[in-house]
Amino acid sequence: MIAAVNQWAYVAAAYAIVVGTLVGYVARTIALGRRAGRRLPPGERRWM
Amino acid sequence: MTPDPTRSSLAGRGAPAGTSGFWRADPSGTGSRGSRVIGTLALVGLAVLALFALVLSPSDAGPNASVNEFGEMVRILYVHVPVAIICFLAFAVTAFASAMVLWRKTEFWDLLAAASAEVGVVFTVLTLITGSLWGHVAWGTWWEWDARLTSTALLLVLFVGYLALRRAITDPQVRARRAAIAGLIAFADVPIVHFSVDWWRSLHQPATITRFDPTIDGIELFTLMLGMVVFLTTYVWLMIHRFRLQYVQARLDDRGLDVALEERRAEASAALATTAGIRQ
Repeated sequence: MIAAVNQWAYVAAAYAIVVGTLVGYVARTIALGRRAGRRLPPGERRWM
Repeated sequence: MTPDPTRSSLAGRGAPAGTSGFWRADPSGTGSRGSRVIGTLALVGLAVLALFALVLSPSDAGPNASVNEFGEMVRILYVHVPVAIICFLAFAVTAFASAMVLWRKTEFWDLLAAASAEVGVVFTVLTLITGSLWGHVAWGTWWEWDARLTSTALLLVLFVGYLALRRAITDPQVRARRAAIAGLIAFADVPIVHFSVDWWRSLHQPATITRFDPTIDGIELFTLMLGMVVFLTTYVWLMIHRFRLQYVQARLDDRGLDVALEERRAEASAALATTAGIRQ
């Protein structure tokens, strides 16, 4: 029982780190995109 | 390296700039309706994956356990394995795009290689962290200088070096060529990582599903496959946005250089006018 509880702590940590890292990376990507995207004139957005 | 309008583009070939469309990014950023659909699918998929991986999928223990008897730790596999495979995919895309840079010499492939390397580094970090959590329970250690772990750490170092090289070179053409060569060299480590468990004695278990008799089946195999789809969708979303971000930054760098050159020309003209005025 103690081993199972201990294993759940590792499982929870793994999922929290994966989801947290990806959410943080996505949020940073969106923020950078908004900041930089507004500065680019419409005529130069060919690959956008 | 200026964009060539006759070559392929991520937003749709020949589409005029600024028009609306499913894949055309909004003026306020790098998102589009298409990327929002993919993002929503990834979010919903992540929630469904959590449901299957943490609730519906059974523990690998008791009479129906696999030969490995992973217990609750089997749940880490549902994120560790997909994340590791996506990191291989990301670096494969970087290597392919790098080869295309050397062949076609277009900006599109250079930006694609850079975007995929960035995403690949994030997924490699996640692979190492989830693997370390797994190892602490399964092997009793956070880290072991074993062939699979060491070659994966080397992969991370190589692609961090690739990204550092990109930042160190300012000339876009020189950067594209040198980064392409570095990307191809770094990718040589991917097959070493994959086959390390077969080539050397390793703590890490052999491939779980990439062989004809997978060691898991039923709901466990379904959950693992669901994880692959979810993280692949996440990778696609990230690639769309990171590519567009690379493109915007490249254009802004060009504009910054143009402004700096104009300023230098204006300074030079003013200096010449002053010198001419003194002589008269």
